[in-house]
Amino acid sequence: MHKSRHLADDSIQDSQPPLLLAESQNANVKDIPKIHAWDEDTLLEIGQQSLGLYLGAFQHWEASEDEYLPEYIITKELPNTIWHDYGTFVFAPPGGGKTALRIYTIMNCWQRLGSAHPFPIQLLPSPQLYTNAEDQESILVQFLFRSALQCLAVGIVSGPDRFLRLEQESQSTLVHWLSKYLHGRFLRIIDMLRAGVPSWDIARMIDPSYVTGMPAVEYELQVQLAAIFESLCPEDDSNFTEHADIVSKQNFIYLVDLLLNQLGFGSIYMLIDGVDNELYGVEHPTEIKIWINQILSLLQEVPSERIYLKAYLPDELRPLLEDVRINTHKDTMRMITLEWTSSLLVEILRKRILFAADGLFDSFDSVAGPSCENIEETLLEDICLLPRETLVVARQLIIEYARRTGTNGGAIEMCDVNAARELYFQRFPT
Amino acid sequence: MAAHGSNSPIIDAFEYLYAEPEEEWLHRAFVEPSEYGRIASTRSMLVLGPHGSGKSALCHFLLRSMKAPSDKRLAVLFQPRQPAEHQSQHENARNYLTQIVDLTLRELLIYIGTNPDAFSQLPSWLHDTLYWLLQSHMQGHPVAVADRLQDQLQDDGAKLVRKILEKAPKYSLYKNPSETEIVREIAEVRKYLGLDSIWLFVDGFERWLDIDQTLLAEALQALLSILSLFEIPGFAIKLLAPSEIESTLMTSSGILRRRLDVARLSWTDDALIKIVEKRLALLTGMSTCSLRKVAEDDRLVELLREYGGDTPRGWLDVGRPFIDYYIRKNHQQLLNGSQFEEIIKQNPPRLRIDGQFDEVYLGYKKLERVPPGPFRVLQYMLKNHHRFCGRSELYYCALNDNPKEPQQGDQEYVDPGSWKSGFDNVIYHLRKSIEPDPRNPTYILSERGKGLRVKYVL
Repeated sequence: MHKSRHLADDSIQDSQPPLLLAESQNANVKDIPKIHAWDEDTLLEIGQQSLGLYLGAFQHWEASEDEYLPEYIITKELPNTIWHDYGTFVFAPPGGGKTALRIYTIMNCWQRLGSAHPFPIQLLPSPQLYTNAEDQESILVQFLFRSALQCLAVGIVSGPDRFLRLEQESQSTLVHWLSKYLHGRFLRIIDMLRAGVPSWDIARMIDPSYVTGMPAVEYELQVQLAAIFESLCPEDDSNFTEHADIVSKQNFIYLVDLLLNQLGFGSIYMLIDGVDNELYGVEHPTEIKIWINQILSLLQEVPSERIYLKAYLPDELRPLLEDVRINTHKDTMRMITLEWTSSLLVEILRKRILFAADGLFDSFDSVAGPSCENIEETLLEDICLLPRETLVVARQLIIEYARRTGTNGGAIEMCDVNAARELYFQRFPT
Repeated sequence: MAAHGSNSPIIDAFEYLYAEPEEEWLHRAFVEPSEYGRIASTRSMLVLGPHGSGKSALCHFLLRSMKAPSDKRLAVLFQPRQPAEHQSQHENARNYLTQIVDLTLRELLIYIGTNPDAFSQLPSWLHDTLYWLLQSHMQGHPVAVADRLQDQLQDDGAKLVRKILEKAPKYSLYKNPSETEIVREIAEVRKYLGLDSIWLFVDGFERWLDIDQTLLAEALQALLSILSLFEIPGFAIKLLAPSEIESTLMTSSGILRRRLDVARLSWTDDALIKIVEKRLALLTGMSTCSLRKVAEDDRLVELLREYGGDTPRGWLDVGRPFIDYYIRKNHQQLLNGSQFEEIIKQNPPRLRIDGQFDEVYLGYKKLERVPPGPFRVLQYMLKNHHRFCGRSELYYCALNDNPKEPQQGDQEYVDPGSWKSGFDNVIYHLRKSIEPDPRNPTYILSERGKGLRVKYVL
């Protein structure tokens, strides 16, 4: 991977809680309270360092922040229709891995060998969507178009080659669209390219939830891209008369054509997620069905069979969507409910440990005392069978281990496992 | 108000027992609760606790602890106003977001003013983002904002802030940014300013508890939906809320998705003793002061355990009269048994009813369930605690819900001979339920010819 892994630096070598170190550095500052407790973030770092685990493996709660997610999320138990050319509905409860799978699908697309990989477009709900207005179709077209454009912007800054190979007319059209619909952010992208900001940082500024995981782009390419953007960028939006302010269906169809036939993507995946988002999500489940049917109807007007709808949905929606069986071009939708068994979650946890330990070991048993065995199974016994819960309790184990041993290190003992479970059940009673 | 230098006594250490007026010195009396390590982590937390459990004290302590120059966390305190009845849930949500964004941007400005180097390190391509955020999403005219911040900053910092506020961005980043986009831009600016995270403290819900329950639930949902925008890397939410609204808060998707952890403020007796002793030390100007210096044996601690409940405020409130005596005697005289009893007699724990759950309290001690009949009499007497209530009045109006005492000849009138002994039994059970010593009642007093009266009511 493009970012270097690192273990904890020497700042945690001192035996005092780090916050007290900070206090001593502020000796001249009056009335800053003294803190005597280790906070759990610090304990987690100390524990990982003592156990020889890479710091990033247990830190991230957000799937989009975890650049190494593909290393441990996928098992052979998961049907690969999820990230191949099929229409799929993936159902799971909160914490059941929907977002992680969506992000993996995006990364998997961009990191596949060969240039004809799918182009993933993520469709996350926005407040404008559920108006049920007369011009609902137009609103939907705007939404799809802008979502696609935003994802394409990330794709271009992460890997400019396709764009640089385009005919100038197509480049010009794209740049005009990017300028018009990203507004000032497009000018910021140009500034960032010129400044040599790493491509993944530029990508994150455009959309932090759309992670390609691609390696850094060379500075020379960035400068070349910036130059083209600047040369084609209209000085004034009012001069941009070719396309109306409102995106038409024809614009969307043209964009699809550009993606598939000029930029050379093998197919397009429309990835729907976040429908149960607290702020923008649907208020009633029937709205999502209406919405999905509207998208499918719209996509059937696009003259291409290489567009696939993939939705990551709360499991309670499955009964409602059972009859939405037909994909964009008369192909059957695959309905997948993620069911996590204890053994599957143990497997995923071990993959995470293996990655965190740089391949040296794949179980906490390897860094535990002689009386400990099958720690992962014991840890996950009776907890809620969801990937996120696995991460919660595994983190807590490392924290409890560090709470007991401090910076002195040593082996994990059963008392750490018991303490982690006790706290877990105390904090999250079933 | 005493000077609050590090060694001089704090004469109002037992005066207010609310965090706000104690802000200047509260950190010196602060005792970390058992969940502190978790609450102080970068995880977003919902911290629940009953009235007086120390939520605001915890909030102020954390805020203060983040003021060290080397601390790379930015603290933002949001105390949402009571929702207005005429506003829709959507309008309330918009208002909350506007306020939070405004507060956050102000704190960022103060940070820049206090750390001008941070701004000079901000990449040039991000300057316009900052200018755009300030121009478009901070409330108030830039000049007025700069003037208000001036007092908090040194000259250089104030000049820099004014310059930033007057600068127009080269371009407008968005045409119609969504809430998510605004919050994300703030998160990015904070990162490049060298800040590890922005901690959003949400406190002050106690004043919400008096409003209509439906309005309360809607307002909480609106607030939670806005807070979900801040459940992103770069932000940590610390939502401190009274236990009364726990059930609504626990339905938040942030809780269900584990983006918000839950901690409940609770205190062991040892921790509560420590809290009282720390305040006592502040009050006396000593470095430490044990409760055993106030009263003989452990009687004060036993009293606090009995009537102080399980919150810091309870223990401090119940202990206050004894501390006052100790201070009046220039902390030279240990309270003996009879002095102790005398103070209790003059300052018994106050009697009250929690209207929401129909629970009776002496001080902060919840009493065993008072039987229905005696409870109704007590309720009535509490409402009329300023006067004596005749037995007849209590029989008809308290026990039997008559709007007024009937006279002889009225349909509702019943011969006293038929209800007096039953009524006396009710009073007997009432005293048995609430009086520490029913044979020597403190709270339910009777006077011949006048009736009954309740005393020492909160």
